[in-house]
Amino acid sequence: MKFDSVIIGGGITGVQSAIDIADQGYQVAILERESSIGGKMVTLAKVFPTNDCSACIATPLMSSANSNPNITILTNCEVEKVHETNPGYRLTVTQKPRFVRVDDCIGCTRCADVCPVVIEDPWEYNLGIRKAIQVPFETAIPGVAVLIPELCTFCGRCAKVCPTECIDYLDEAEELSIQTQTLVLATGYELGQMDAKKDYHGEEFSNVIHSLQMERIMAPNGHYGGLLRPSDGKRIRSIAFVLCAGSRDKSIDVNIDYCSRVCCMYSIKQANLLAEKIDPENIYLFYMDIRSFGKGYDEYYQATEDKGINFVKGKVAKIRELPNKNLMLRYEDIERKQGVHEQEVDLVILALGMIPSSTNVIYPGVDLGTDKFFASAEPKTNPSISTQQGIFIAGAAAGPKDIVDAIAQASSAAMKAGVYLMKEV
Amino acid sequence: MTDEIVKTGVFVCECGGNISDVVDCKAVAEMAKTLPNVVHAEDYIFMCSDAGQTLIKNAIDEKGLNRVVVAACPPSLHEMTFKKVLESKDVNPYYFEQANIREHCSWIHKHNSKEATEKAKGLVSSAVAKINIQMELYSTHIDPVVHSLVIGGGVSGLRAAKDIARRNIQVTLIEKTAILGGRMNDLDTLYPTGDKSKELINELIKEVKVDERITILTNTEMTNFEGVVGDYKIELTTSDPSSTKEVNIGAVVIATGFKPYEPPEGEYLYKKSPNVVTLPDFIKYMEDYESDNGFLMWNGKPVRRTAFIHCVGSREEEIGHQKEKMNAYCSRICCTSIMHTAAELKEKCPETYLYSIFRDIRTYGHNHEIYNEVASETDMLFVRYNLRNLPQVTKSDEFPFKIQVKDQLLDHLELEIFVDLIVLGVGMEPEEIDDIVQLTRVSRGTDGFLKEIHPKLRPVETSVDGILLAGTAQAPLTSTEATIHASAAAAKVAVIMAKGVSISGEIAEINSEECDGCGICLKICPYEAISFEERTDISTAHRVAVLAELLCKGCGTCVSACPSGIITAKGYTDEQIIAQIDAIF
Repeated sequence: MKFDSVIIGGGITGVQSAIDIADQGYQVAILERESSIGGKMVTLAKVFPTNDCSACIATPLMSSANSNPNITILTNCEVEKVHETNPGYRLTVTQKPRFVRVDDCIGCTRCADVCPVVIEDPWEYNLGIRKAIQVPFETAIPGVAVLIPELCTFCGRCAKVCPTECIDYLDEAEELSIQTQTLVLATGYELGQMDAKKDYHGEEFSNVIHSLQMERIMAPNGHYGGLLRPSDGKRIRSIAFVLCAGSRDKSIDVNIDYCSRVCCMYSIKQANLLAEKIDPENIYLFYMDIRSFGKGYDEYYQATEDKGINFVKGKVAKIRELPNKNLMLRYEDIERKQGVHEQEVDLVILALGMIPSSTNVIYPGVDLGTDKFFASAEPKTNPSISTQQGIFIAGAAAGPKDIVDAIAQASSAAMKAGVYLMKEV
Repeated sequence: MTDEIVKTGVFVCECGGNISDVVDCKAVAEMAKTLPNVVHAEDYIFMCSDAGQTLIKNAIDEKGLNRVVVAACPPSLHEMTFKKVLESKDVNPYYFEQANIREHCSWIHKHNSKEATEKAKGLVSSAVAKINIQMELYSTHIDPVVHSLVIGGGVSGLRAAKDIARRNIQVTLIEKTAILGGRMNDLDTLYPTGDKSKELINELIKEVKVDERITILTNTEMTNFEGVVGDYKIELTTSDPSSTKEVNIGAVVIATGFKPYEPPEGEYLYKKSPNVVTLPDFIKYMEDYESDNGFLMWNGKPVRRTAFIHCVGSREEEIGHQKEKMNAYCSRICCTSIMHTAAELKEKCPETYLYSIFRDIRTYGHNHEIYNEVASETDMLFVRYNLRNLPQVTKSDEFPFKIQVKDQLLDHLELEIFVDLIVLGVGMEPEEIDDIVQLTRVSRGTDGFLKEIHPKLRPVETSVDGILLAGTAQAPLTSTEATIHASAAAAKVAVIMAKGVSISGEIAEINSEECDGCGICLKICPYEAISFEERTDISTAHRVAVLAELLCKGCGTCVSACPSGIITAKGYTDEQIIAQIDAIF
């Protein structure tokens, strides 16, 4: 396979970048390791500062990449090796077996209906369930089923009900060799560890969850179908957001020592939306500094504060679990009532920071910063070029970013790729 | 309209619960089946998804649909998505109508499921009635002029100009002052790379100057602007040497930048005392400063203590500020800039003691650990104020100033801080560009910065096709962020040039034969798309109104103003509107 540009990562950044390169008239491939493109944005409930439904604005972008004649989408693909061919790069890619023939599957979901295997769904950040075979999520692209061999019991029920006979239990991994002139690295981010700060017991207490899990609870198509908490399905009536959880905290070993730029705003957004459903006085947001620096963000913060939510300047020291699975937070309120206090809530959200997506791939000549995000050769006046010619960086892979900043850099990297493809250096 | 039999399909979207949690989508689809010409109706969880789009395509194939109604979110979100679906099946995309049953039904009437459903049925009936009598329309394709205009010669304009030129697109770069480089000329070193701002900007200027595809015009402003995306006619006026020229332009990048907030006289004693200075002025003062006694010298006297006050002209609200004009937004760069300047000051003048009087420390940037550095490695004292207790600056005896501030970090303890020098961390305001806004009709937000078309997914595009935004004309940004936006704007220009431009068929149509030449439409048209044509062959008038179709945006203003009723809004005819109303009531 041969392309002018290959985008590594099919999240919203990769998708935007692909569209902007393809629309300049080039052949582009998106390589995505999951079984659908869309990345993290499609899992969000709503986005700040517009409170737009996230899936509603992300899906059309995914769809227009899919219908773009210059774009090839390759899912289930893991990059193994990158080799500089001068000019260009050759990628060795493993395409994991899907056990479903993509061209034949019509996404009818009958296979999932009969599949007896029920497991936690990583797409729902383990709050929901999935089957061993199913379409990854409603708006997936490609919108076809995928079977997870580690979980499948090969009972054969899905094959029996499949109307197009597209399930192939003997499907095997395929090695792809892809030649490209340029690469755009849009590999995104992962959240920091839930147990980074031991005193919060993020892995242990079932009602201490992270912000992406909260997105799934709040999403209109979320698995719980309402504001219910994980431990017992009880309706959530009080909630605490702990900002900078695991970040900017020298007391812990796996500290994320930089600011992740988005946690303040996504927490404020969740608080803003929750204030419509529960008493704002029962919403607590513990912070160090509120960094609502983006366009329209400070105004959004002010509007949220005006709803009567408790913004508490201070770090939470400890979280205890009570017998009824409620949580008791021990904290200092620096600003309003000095001293140490305790507050009981139904649910705690840890606003974890961003770390680069894990990968073993080495991109020749591409430097990483001390924080392991991709570094730019000219960070001040040409930030989307990497330290290697023909390789460009975009989105959260180049440092923590919110969606709009990631989208801007996606287009910016697309410009750099377009310029490079003019054969002018 | 052609003679074919109208076959309409209705698709009701559940929007993943956004609609179906309130509106009974199945009932809406069932009702739709009873409407005239409707041969197919169904509901689905996400119509905009690939699977949803496939449903529409299949129904077009199987049922021979030639009209499609989708009841879902607003057309502003997905009209293009669905029109493309029709196009892919060779159905005229103007045979598509979208009924907004989310904002207009499920969201606004979320506590009244029954009535929300009834309203959704009404809106769907109305959409079907309209599309059933829709006329056949076509878009016009234009090959754009491969020449773009970049307004503003700062770092964003230079970056955009260079990127666009490297796609072999001609660029005219205009700058209203005599020199290129913009605000980066005023800075010293940049955080965190330590690069000299002037060196970086000079390098970029050099790259732009040697590029033969770029024409640079300094002392130049845009004085007239007309035409349409792909084919703008723009007048440029140069003051020195005095000249005017007209250029034909396919797309425009606005990179007019910012100006530092200028405090009114008296704000924190600004201009009342020479020892109150804004951050940009202080940076200029410090650039080549060398201390011989460890102190910063100011007006011949050693500065023992300096206070940096944050958020001057930013994050202002009525509860704290008594001002006529207030900037509610955060200017994004000032915290880091203050910390960086303070660190440099401390290094050059270790004897000068520092205070930061702040609200929140927003050193958010990638690799911006300067806050930690300053806090842990200098003796800078951090004092947190809030809006209800703004710092009060008064003149004092032993020190020039006394700052009274209630420290939020010390149980609102009222502190009296005596200092020699006050540096005001002023924010950004948009550059004066009333003329450009007026000529191009790009929109401004309430914050005064130019408004992007979508704050999440389309940050560099405006509501005027072919006009893009680069850098701080749109919002406060660092140079890193501004150049990202500049390259993104350049990418949009490159796409316009590569793909061409499509102009909507939903425009006005004037039946000039019936026109009596009153001229009301000429005066009222906001796009100057209507002009007079002398006619001797028509009995009603010696002059009649004619439409320049490419300039018309289909706003409909002339349609409602025409006393003779001879102007039609294509796609929104009187018959269609009346049919829509009849269908509801």
